[in-house]
Amino acid sequence: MSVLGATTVSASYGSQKVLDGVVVSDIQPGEIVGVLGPNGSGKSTLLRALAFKGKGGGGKVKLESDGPIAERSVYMPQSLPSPSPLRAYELLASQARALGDNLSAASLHIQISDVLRGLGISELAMRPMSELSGGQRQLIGYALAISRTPDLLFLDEPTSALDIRWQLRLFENIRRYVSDNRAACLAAVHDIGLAARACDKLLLLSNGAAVATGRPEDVLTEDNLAVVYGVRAHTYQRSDGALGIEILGSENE
Amino acid sequence: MTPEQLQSQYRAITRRRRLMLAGLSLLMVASFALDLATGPAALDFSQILIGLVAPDQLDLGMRIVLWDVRLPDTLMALAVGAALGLAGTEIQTILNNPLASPFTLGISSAATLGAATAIALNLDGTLFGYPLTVPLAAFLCAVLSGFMILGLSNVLGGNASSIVLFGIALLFFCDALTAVLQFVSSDEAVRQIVFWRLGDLTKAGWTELTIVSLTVFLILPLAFRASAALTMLRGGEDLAAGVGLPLASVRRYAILRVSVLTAVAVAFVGAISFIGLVGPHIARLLLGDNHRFLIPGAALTGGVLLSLASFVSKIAVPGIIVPVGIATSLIGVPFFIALIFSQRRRIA
Repeated sequence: MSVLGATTVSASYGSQKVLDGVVVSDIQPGEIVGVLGPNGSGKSTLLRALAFKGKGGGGKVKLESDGPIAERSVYMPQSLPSPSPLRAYELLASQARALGDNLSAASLHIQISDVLRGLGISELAMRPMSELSGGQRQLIGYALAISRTPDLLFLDEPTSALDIRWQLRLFENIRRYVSDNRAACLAAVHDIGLAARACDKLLLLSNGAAVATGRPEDVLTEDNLAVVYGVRAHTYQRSDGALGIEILGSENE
Repeated sequence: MTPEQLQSQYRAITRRRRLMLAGLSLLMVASFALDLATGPAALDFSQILIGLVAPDQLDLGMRIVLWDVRLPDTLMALAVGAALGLAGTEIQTILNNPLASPFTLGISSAATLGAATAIALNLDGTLFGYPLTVPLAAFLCAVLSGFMILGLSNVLGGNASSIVLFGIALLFFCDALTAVLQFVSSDEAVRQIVFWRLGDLTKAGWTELTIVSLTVFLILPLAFRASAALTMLRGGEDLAAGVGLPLASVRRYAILRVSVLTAVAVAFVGAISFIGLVGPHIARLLLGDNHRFLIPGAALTGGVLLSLASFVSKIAVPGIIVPVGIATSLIGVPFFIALIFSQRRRIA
């Protein structure tokens, strides 16, 4: 049974169409789907439309789905958690309390320390958010998202503030999360190399329309990269079987 | 880090904050005692203690001073201060704006406009012999302005900075209308309006005190119940909405609580401005952003501040009680600035 049925999404702000009937094909448990596209192509709008089922934000959204849209989903925004004097732990605990988890104090401690340890950031638990770096706060944001144990994770550029090591570690963690929990993830990603490596399927957007969708090697072709991003690229199969992409330059050069 | 280590570290932090709350409570008792013992009539501590325990042993004049003047005034300072501190904290959190307060959102100015209208039109209605018109007009205008902000937040959805701007526009608009009223009013009415605006605790009696205290005691637990949601908002609104916090309803109930608290608090004592803005900041500096501690802490801080201001207003000029609104800013501002600087040193 899929986590998200195939869904067609249209969205507009006023008279401006942001998404024009983008089809997100059905997503199975354990899958990580990357949404790619240049700035302003509609990645965030697509994620928000699906996550809030058309009700969040100011624009008009139309969703047509032939299957379920995961009831238990969370959306992690691109904006990082605020650098407030709150400790990371307090943020996690108050989230659990505010959203009605009737956990005892002891099991709440266990849940929070499990999530943080799984990410390898236990040492951040008692530090004020204001003393953490942007990347560390982004990891806390992700910890807040998965501590809800959703069936579907919508992540809006979850690695934007992370260094290369943590980018990889975060996607390893997402992989572990979706397979352990029979959940799925739809993530907007800027880094095409990371997306090719970490995602099972990709959806390539340009100007609010889907240009290609499917396996990374079928989506990130030299032609598509030229059309959508305006870059000359060389794609090849790496020795480990994964897709390798080398950007040669912009088309204007 | 094991769950046990995490738990013990968190316990240590919690213990520190509980101690801070206990300290604030003691400070409140102390400032209450100081305020109670100060005034034009020569009542010393021992007489006050006797008068509190066995009123019959005090002569009639002193008994009246203690029970009908001092006690209601000093308790009123605590109740109004608590109401404004609490209201300011909630509004700053839900609008994510350190400049938000019952005053900067125009709620206090609307109350002033209401009171000024009643004074200028010389409406002196009474209920059971009690002069009701001015506080009632102030209350109604304040609640009305609160509902306007509420309506606006429903229309604008998540746009908190528009709400702040609207509040500031409302403040100027109400002030302009009050100025018009002052311009056309008699000298006596202008004097009364100016006094009302400055804030004055000495008008309060037991009835007013009961109304304000009941409001605080009813709303404090409601605010406390929302403390986890309010804490979440400090992490970021987008983030909270993304995991399913019903932002609109959290905000709606908070604005409702703030409107009622402010309206009741200022209706009887006038537009005391400073407490609702600075009380919450002091509480945040002392207790952090976790609203489980901040909400009771802000109520205590507000009470202490207004109580101290009331004390200062009685001793600043010998023989005269300066309107408390003046004293609030005069002692609050230096204290606040000192706190900002001490905090900066700690961070640096």
